[in-house]
Amino acid sequence: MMKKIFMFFVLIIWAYPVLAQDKMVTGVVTDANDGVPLPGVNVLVQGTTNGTQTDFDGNYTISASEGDVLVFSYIGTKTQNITVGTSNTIDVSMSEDASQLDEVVVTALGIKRQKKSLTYATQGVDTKSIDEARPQQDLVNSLQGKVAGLSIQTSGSGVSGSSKVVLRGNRSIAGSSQALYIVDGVPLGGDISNLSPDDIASINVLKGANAAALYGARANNGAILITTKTGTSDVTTIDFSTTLTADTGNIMFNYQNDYGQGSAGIFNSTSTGSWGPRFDGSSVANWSPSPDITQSLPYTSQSNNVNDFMQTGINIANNISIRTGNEKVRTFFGYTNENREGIVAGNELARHNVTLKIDNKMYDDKIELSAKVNYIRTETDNILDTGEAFTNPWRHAYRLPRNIRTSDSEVFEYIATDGNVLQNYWKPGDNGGANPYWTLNRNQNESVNDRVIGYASLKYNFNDKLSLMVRTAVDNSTTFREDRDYNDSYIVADNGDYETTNSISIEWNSDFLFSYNEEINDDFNFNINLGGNSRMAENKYIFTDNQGLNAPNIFAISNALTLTAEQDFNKEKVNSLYTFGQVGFKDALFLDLTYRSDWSSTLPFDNNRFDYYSAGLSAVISDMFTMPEPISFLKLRGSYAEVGNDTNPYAIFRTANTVAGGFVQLEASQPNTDLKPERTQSLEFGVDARFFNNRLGLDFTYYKSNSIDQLFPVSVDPAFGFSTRFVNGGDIQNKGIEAILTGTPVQTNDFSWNVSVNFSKNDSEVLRLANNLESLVLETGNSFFRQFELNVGDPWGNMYSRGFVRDDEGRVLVNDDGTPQVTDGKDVLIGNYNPDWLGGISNSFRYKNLSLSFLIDIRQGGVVGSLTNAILASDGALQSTTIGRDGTLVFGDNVFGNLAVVKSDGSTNDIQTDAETFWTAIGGRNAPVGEAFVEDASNIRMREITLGYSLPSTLIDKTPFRNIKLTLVGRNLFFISNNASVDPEVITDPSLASSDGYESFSPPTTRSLGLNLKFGF
Amino acid sequence: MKIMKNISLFFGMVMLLASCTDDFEETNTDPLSFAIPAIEDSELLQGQAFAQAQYTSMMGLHWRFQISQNLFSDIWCQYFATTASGFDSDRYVQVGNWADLAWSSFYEESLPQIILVEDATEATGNAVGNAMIKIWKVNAFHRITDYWGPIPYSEVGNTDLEAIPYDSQEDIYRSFFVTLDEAVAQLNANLDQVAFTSGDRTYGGDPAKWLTFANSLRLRLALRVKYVDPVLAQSEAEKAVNAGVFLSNDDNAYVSVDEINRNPLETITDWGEFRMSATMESILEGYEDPRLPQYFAPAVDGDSDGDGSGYEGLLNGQTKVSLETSKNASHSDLSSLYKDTALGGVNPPIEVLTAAEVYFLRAEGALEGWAMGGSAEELYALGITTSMEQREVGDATSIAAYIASTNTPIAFEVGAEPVADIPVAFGGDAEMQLEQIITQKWLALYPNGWEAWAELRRTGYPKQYARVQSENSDVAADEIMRRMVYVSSQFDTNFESVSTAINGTELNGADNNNTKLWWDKK
Repeated sequence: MMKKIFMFFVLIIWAYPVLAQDKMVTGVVTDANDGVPLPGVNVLVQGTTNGTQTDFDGNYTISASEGDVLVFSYIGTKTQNITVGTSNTIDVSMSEDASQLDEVVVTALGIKRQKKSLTYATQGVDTKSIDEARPQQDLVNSLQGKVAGLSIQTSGSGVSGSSKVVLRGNRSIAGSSQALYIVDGVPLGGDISNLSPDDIASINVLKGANAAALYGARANNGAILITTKTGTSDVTTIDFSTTLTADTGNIMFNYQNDYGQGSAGIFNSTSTGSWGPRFDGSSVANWSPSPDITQSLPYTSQSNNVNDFMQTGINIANNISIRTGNEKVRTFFGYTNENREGIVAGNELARHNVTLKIDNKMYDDKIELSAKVNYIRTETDNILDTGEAFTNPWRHAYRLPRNIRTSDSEVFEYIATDGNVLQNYWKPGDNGGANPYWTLNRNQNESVNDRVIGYASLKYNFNDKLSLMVRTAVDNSTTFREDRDYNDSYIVADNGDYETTNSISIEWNSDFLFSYNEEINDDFNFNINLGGNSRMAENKYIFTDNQGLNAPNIFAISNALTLTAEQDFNKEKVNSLYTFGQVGFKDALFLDLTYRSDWSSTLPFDNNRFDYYSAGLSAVISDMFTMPEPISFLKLRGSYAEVGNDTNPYAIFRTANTVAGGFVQLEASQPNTDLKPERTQSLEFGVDARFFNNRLGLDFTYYKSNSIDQLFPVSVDPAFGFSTRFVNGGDIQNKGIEAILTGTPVQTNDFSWNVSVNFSKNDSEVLRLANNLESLVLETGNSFFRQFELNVGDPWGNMYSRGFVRDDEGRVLVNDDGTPQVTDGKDVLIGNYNPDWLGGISNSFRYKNLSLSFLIDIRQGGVVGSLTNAILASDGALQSTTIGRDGTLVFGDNVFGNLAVVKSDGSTNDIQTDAETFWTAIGGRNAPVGEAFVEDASNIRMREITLGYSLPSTLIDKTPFRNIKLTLVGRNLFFISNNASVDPEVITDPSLASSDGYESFSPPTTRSLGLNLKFGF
Repeated sequence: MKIMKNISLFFGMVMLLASCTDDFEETNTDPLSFAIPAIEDSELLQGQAFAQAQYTSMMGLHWRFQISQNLFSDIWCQYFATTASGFDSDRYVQVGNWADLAWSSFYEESLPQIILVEDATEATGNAVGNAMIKIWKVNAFHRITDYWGPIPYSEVGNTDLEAIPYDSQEDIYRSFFVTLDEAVAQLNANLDQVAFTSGDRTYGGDPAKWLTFANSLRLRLALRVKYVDPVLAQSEAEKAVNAGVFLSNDDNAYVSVDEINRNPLETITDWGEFRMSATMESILEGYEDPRLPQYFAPAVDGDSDGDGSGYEGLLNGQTKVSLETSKNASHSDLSSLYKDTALGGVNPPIEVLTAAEVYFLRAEGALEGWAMGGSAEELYALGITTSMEQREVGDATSIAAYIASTNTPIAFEVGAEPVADIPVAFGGDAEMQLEQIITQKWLALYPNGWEAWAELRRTGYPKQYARVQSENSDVAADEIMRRMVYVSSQFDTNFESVSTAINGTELNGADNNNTKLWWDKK
């Protein structure tokens, strides 16, 4: 293999073109950060098409005349203009452009623009370490802590799963508040969880609706723009990267280690709770129902039995990228192979990700043809079920009684006297309980996902000013999943259960775009664009189930006792026409205008069009007026946008469905045949300023958005004959600020220090719901713990649960038996998840070839409610339950001592009770007192650390290698401070609007530590 | 400028293309469902909607059945006791989420079907189908009003109103009899018509069968109002018996089930959350009742309390602490008939009304001196016989011996008291005879706890063991739950109406579990 690569390398050298010249200018382009030669830097003689790229050693040669200006540009660095003088050698050192002010950014529809001309907030993400400190789940997790105004919460499903990504606050009552993903100018149907970080060239986050008016309705939540790598026009590079990381879980529940199984202080080997006697080392009966397992067990604390459930997760990722091409054809090829093992045995993922991207210029560059295919195959075993799913192994692992020994519980099955293989569990057949090792080994699933993302694009340049682009792009994903639950799993069909799910989703966009640029004179230029888009999205799935199996544990559809199936299908089409343009004056004042019309199939047929628009102004003050010395750059910007949105398919007619067995069931919802499209109105102002020769930068944004006329179902009295009604209403307001401070405190040849701080604060308020509607309960996933309500005048995200009953003076009332009086319904506000503010501090240091960077991620404020804690408390598993087991617990005194608790006569509570009575009264699953199990969600964590070393070029020059770099990486390494016993960031179901701030048997937070090795030719 | 002209021409064409949305209407039509007019136009679809009304109003889906019947009326009438520590309803807590779902399982799932079929049969002149849905509506609504008392009834489906008002239970019951009169008249006029055929999960659309069902239902409702309006009760009961009620098990009203839409008990028995009650053990074992093995199975652990029998009942209202220890293996599960088919179950049809119940209703009427076509004692014996035949236990001799037996209930465990002292053999004063009739009816109704709880409230029988614990300050452990408290979703969506019902004369008491319903007047 190495030999072949070496041959390849030799061939490239040999084929290196020798150019004709007036005068040949040569030089080496290096990275100012670490002195390493930079390949693929564009070198252009300004005002001509004469250009080249640096080779693998950073060398370039270009013909130029004295007085010509050479433009050196490279992504992520400051573009340099150097006038050719008498010397034939020009060496250039490209420095990182932290502010990226001069950067050309990719905006709507893949159009590249100078950042300084933008009228809205966009933040480029440093993608340099994205392929080193690889996130373990969803690629988007790489952005955690890096982008002001971005909130990411991760899924509890293990090594795979999609995160919940919200920019500038939740806004949609019934739909999604999540950002739209755009890859290479094309909106995806799904997320980016399975994209390869090695393919990523740059990421830009367009935060407001302002930025996104051109991507259509779905971008009213902001957009994350990803540009993938392309080939080169001169040089071939081959890069290898391999990463090995180890993940460990961190269980933070405060377990007690003094008492074991039982109740009322009496040992019972079938107990799920730990309310037995104090550990005394005596021998007790074996809990196993197996007739063959009878030896007595030591009655001692097994303080590590929950930790033992975890293993070290291992992730291995390998990538090869080839970038090649010439002036006419540029080709990028990437292949990434990933294998992940989770912290729970059997939770595994294997992924192959292949990308081929070709950009072709033809007919004197009149025609540009581009095509990309990205094929991703992901095989996932045992995606962790979340929350209260009985197949969620954490539901059972966390609840291990404190005396159950790991080695005993690992024996998860036994052969009963009748020959059946049964679950080895201490309380057989218990409601919802299981041996966690049984769940791990006998409740299994596997799924295979095939995804193809691709496009073909043709651009015709009529002349320098006018061009036409036509493009068609597809994101097609198919998943086949099987679930296998063995006989003797709780609430599972007898003899086992076998389910299959087949789902297909496709998003297909076809576009055309006319662009016209005109420079009227030196001061004025404008461009105008006219485009259209036709979008089709379709989802379908078929699910099969059974009423049990005939032959035990044979998982085949033909073995179903009674085969049942479900099916779903939905489809929508949206056609759009839009125009946008920009007028620039003296390259310092820019006016942006957009207008778009959408026709959506989901709206009433005779009223299916909605229009929206945006306007923005950007003024580079520092280019207009002479600034005081410290100010090197100053720009003011402001914009307003209004974006429309349609609704879900089939929402405007009431229909009925057939139900297997010969039933017809009416839909419960009364549709609104008179739907108005939703609108988001968004206003923002910003300042970009740089000081002290660009050593210090500040990017500040104020925004306000109102989402009005939302389409959402409202519960109505079902005695009308329907239980929900679709209404147009709502005004959800989000306003806030975002600030990004960048600085270079130290910059010398050998040592540099860059720092970037981001801060964001969002305040939401429900201004209006609908006529006569002051309060709305959002979909809660039927949680017994809490409900999520929108109340007019309150912020988004208030959680309600049961609480302690209080008297007029706010004192908590106690029952005669010493337990708290508890409200009947979930009617007590227990808090709001949304943080007061979010922040991130990123530092990067370089000393010669050594670089170190770390990112501290801060969230301040908000709460998280934990069902797990409520259940562990009623199980007697927590340290807090050791107080007053002998009947000396006094509510408001030795537990909840911060509360003023009074008896019915108003005197201070002194009623003694025992811990088991107390905690089973307020904890547990079905009616927990949420107020008692809510925690402050503030935390500060070490999000990311990378320590890299590049072999110096003096060493490498004698080898075939272009570069060799070794990086130590760490992600989510530790909490600098954390007030909760859970990780508030890990949520049960990222697709639910109401999943925020609720912990229900989530996996523990994990830290990753790894090593990345890169080398290139 | 030629090029600009070309561009504008091009864009004109594109505008036309993009706004070309001819197929949008088709795109926005769900291929997997159909519109309401299609149902109204098709008697086949009407029948399938009728079938869904039948299945859903009996809470056919397992979890809906569990949170509406099994965890409330089945537990409160002491057919079963729960063994899951988190199931608070056995300690007389009306768990809010479940009650909300019990309400919505009827009003959201079943009611729209009833309205749809009623409107469609009326619009299409389907007189038999219309009579059937009217009878079914009475059957469905009496269960709901028996749970809560005043409920939205007469104006349901009236979208011209701002809010649907609650009707008093008295008004509802009185209108039930009128509705049954209308339905009976429609059926009598169209006895040669068959409606819905396979869409009718009870009688295949046979109008004659529906007539006897309507009359038997009238009899049940008549006895229900016995204490509050004896005159109405007698006249309706006699009208029913004269018109012809169920006489044998062939007449019984069931909602049939299939392999997919199953008997809900059959699924929830798999979940291991309830066991035979102590009251059941005391009565069935004391009477040496041959139905015992049909109803329950011996405990897995056998005779764990040393009372000489492997059938073990559990006292209701166990504390959370006591349920920390699993009670499942040490107490009797349901018999295999009600278990999953893989475990020997038969997936039985859902019982709506049986001939055995009808005989006990007639026996009670006869006890009052009403013309019920027999003496109380005769009808009591026929009730027992019909129930035994329904359960396929015993022969004529053994049934006769059972009816004559002087056995009384026994202690469910060593050291306990028997739950009651009445023998099977009919006798004693009128009150004792009533207790015997209702106790036997309670046994015959099993597992229809919905009806058993209503009759427990109305008559106070059968006598029950006090619960171990009540966590409800309104209802003590030795008292009976009298009704369901209104559900929170009604306070959210129909606040004015539910408040009016509570504060006005409709409920006539606080919205508590100890407020007696209109017919609960003994």
